[in-house]
Amino acid sequence: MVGFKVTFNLEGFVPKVTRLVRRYCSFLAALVAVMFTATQVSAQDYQLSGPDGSVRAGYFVVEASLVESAENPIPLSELQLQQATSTDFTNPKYYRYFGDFSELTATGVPSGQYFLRLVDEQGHSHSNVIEVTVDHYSLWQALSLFGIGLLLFVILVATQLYFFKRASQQASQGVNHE
Amino acid sequence: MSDSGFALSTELGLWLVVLFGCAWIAFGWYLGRANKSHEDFALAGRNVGMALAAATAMATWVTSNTTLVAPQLTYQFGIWGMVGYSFAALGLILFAPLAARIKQLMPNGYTSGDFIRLRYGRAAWWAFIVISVVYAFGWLVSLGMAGGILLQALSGLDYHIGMSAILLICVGYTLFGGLRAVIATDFIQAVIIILGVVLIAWFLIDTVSLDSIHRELSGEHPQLLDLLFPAAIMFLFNNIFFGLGEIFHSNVWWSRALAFRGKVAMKAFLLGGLLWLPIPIVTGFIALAAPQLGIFPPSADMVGPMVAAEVLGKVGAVVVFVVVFSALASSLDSLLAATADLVTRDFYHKKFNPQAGDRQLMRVNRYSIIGLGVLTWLFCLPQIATLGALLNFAGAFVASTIFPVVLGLYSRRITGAYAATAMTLGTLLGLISYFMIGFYVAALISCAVSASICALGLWRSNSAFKWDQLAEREESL
Repeated sequence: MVGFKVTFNLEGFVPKVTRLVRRYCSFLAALVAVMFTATQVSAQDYQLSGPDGSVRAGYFVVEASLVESAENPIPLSELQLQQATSTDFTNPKYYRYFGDFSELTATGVPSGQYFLRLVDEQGHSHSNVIEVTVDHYSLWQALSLFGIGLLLFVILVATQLYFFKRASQQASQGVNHE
Repeated sequence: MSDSGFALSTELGLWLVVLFGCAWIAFGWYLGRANKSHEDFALAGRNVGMALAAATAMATWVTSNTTLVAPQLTYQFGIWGMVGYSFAALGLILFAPLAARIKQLMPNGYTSGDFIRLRYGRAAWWAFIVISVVYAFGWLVSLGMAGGILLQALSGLDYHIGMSAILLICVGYTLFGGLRAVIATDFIQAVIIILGVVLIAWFLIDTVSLDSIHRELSGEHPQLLDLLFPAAIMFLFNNIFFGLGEIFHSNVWWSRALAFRGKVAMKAFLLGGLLWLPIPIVTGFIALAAPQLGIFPPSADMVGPMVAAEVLGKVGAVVVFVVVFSALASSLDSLLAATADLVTRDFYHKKFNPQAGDRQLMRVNRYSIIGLGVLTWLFCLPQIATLGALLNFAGAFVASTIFPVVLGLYSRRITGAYAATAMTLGTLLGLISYFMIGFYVAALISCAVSASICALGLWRSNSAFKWDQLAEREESL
């Protein structure tokens, strides 16, 4: 019986301990996560700034300026600009700053909402997160202007050809009229 | 690569500037010894032959626009940026018959301003001069800025030092040699530009394969390969009209048309245009390799030199320097000479001192070159915009002159009032669209408005201009 009871008690005790350990581990994990996040936030060596308003042509400049209070900041050339479509930065794209320059031009970006931040090779953030909205012109608007341009160009070339031929004919006939 | 990440050390960059500067100024001085009159200085004696004529047409049109802005627009607008930019060759090609007509109507003419004043009268002349001055300064400033940007991109040399050095060199040899030096240096620069651009493209394709460039672009920057990229489609005809407006109105091209011998003008402009056509394709292509190489420039107009220097290393950076420097110099000198002619002829001689003698005109022309150089330097000091944006601002002005110039050369019916209104309203509405929509529509809107007013003028007017008025008044000089 004792053995049974002990066994019974143990059987009831183990899940409780397991739950407790799990809770404790969860708590520790959460604490570490909070501390890690806090460390990440505190390591904002750079202030990023991007375009004001939405971008209409798919290219934009992102400037990184050193924060005055930054202590031993990692040089910008060793960091990467991380771009993603969500704030958790899944499936990111990367850009690198060139030489000593603190501005970078991203290009060929399709319409959408993008989040950008500076990260080191371990993926730790070193800047604020900025949001850039790319909203291309509508195709009908572009094609309308294209059509106007084409029409105007045809008119110009036709005008030049007409007058050139006419002037040549008149010159060959020795006439100097319109 | 140097430690700082730049292809050349700052010291080497400076040495290259000094060496090139001394060589061009000495050459300008040597050629300038043949200038005996103001006509020699301003129009190279009206005796430029076919080879030099075609080379100067091509080399002058290969400018910071082609070597820096073509890669910039390709980087921003992709395939359309590259192809669209090459359509600017249409400016030279369509100007060819106009050049022949100019030479026929104004055998003794000096400037484009002369033509507008004689053909359309005072009001149109003022509108035209404002447009010309804004354009000339826009181009001069963009060229000065390009010099500074080039040296900064390649060697990290401070923008202000590079910009000042290039302006000083170009002012120097234009001052000594006049249009004769400008055309002769253009010929050498054209050869350097063609060889250099081919060399860079060859090495680029050899180093970074077309496949890998295509893969990178289609995966990471898909808009650059999209033939229905809206902003790029909007930009296409705008760029064509901008190029047409630049050439049709500018005294840079009119002075060449007047300086070329006999019937050379038409053939020279046609050949120059055809030679120019593939150059932006090559220089633009360089920019498409930038993402594959991990190059994202601080400013889009720096992408060309940065990619070339990255691919070709130190030797490549020197080649890029030589090519872009030649391109800048060939345009900067032309513009300085042509704008100084405009100041000397249209303002000083026609407005202030009609009795001025030949020697006095030459002296004023030289002072004008120095004055323009100083003014350009002052405007270049604050780096206010990217080259593309700065140039396209001028597009709103120059595109309004296309139809008034073409119709003014061929039709006797259109009057000065319509021409002045077309240029003024075209420019104003072009500027409004520049600020309201973007730089890629300014020239198109400006040209469309101006064309509509000219069409109205043709329809409503019954006047009959006498062509010999264009030639008669020139005899007084």
